[in-house]
Amino acid sequence: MTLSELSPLSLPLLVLGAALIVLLADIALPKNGGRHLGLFMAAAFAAIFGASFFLDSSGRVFDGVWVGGDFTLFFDRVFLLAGTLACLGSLDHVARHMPGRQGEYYLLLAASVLGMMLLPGARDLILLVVCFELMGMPLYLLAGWAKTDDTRGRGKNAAEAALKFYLVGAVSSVFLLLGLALVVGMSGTTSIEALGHMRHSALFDLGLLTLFGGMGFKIGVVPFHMWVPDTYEGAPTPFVAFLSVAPKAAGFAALTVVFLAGFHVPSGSFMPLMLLLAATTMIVGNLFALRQESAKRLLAYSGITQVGYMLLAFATGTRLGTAMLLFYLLGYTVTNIGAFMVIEATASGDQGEDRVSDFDGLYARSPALALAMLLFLLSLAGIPFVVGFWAKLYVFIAAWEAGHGVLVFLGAVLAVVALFYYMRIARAMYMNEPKDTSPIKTPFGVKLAIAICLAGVVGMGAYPAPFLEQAMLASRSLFG
Amino acid sequence: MSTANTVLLVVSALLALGGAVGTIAAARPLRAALALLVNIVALAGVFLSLHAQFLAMVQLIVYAGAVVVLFVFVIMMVGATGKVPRSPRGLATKTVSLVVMSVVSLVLVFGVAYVSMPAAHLPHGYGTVEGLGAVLFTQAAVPFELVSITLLVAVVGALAVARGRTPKEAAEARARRAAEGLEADARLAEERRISAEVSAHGGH
Repeated sequence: MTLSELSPLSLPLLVLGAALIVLLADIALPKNGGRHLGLFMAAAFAAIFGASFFLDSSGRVFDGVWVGGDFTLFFDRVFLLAGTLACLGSLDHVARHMPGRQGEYYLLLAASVLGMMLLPGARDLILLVVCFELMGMPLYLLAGWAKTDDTRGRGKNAAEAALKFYLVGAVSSVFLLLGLALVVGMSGTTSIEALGHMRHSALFDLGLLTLFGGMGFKIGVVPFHMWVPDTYEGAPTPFVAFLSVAPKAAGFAALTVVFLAGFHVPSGSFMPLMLLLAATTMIVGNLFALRQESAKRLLAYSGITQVGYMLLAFATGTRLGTAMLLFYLLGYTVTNIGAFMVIEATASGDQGEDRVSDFDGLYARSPALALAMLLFLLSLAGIPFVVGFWAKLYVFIAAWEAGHGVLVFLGAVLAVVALFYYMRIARAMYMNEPKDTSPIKTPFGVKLAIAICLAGVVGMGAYPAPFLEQAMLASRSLFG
Repeated sequence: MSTANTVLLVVSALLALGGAVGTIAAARPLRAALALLVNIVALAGVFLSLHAQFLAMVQLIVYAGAVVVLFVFVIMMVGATGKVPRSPRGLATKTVSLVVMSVVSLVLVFGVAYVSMPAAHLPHGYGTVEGLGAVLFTQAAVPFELVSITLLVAVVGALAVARGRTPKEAAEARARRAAEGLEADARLAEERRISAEVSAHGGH
């Protein structure tokens, strides 16, 4: 084997290199150098994102254990974008609240991104499970990062957030491994491509169902969603911005690879189950979001609802549906990270309670932040002409063509319900009197992250075509 | 499967089950660790009965030899002799989880017992040291390297989360919090002064 055979893995390898530099520099640098490590990591993510347009990352590694192509490239860019934004948004939060462990924070973030970037290309069940672990382990740790350092005395929340997330993650890994054992035991191979030609037996299907359960935990599908709100509430907000989008995208990438490209499942027996889960997820997320007082919890339940729409696109099982799923994930990434960054900006000045009432009179305190949040909320709700509108519309079109008219109708009705709780925040920002009239000082990193997200939301809303084309290309490369 | 083999499998499986139950049912941490040891050694027996000699040896060396010993060391060092507090969950929750778990286990048991299983054809030398070595350098090379990264990250992260604040850091954090508090107090006082002025002017 020569080094050039590893060239399809060049993007993940670059991320690994950057992570190792952070690890070593953290030891070499003086104590207060943590902020520079964050800047370095953000720059590295951005540079690798840029490099993805020039490096050729298609090809097979080790007899097709890992396969690169347009599909992996699309997801790699989403993860690198999320990583850049998360690093930028974390700079001040981490330096202020956890100054003693900054280097490790960025190292873990990079390791998680590395695991995610390897997931979409994995064509071997063992590699798939290892990637899930590499993605998940740093996330559990980061969720509890504020445990002892948080100056606002919310360490207890952080411990709860991390522990719940970790236990659910461990259980989901057990499910993944059990499913894997059944599937491999029935077929004798771990190659996903070879499994596609297997004759289905009852145990084989049970294994597939268990695999799906394990992945469902990771993306937070109802009934595996219980950890989501508690974890979001206790974890550092800039990290939650990352957590709310990137692992979901990775989970859907794995689901698509295993179930659509590998087993061609939804054409068979699993279709009704997935549609049922999509409907339940949309309904449950919406109902719980209505009554939340904490802005982070509200967005957590709204995120569960969004997973329902993604699952609807996934359940079509068609090439078109997968393309729409990818576009939805891209739009959701910029929108949701942006919304959480605004929460970070508004809550960090006060006691960090992030209640909906903290948004009271935001327009008077910072018109720019209020406008940004309004656009993010409109995008989450799917109002024309921001990116969320196209994302929902395209998913509905794909679902309609696959013959799921009832679910399209349900999704449209629920989108109106969702508008109600998104507008609660908007009303607080524009109509309520501020309790605290002091202007908001937003740190530069958070400002830049919000600006990038805003550019994405408005830009993709105005010109969705080139991004949609990329999604189509990615979907085509997977289905062949 | 020969009779001796079947006996080994059944005895090991029963012991493994007993050890697993003991691990979660034991009230004292040390007993739980010892029950785990029983479970691990019995699992090695199961692997032996399935002709996976290498796996059985690794199971003994890594888990029984290293992991359980670490557990016992930590328990001894922390001196955790207290009992685990009783679960605060109500009867309803317990019943529901019992029913759900029973259904899942029954499905699994009946699945294994009554569904015909066309045993997968295994290549020659599967599970032996040579077979494993060959796979580790070809198909499994990427996952193998990734596991080492995962472990590295887990160790670094666990240390970072678990370590407390040094006295110096704690003092800095206190000072910072006090400064933030003073800033907020000053802002509040300023607002009070302004509103008092406004109301005073309003009175004229």
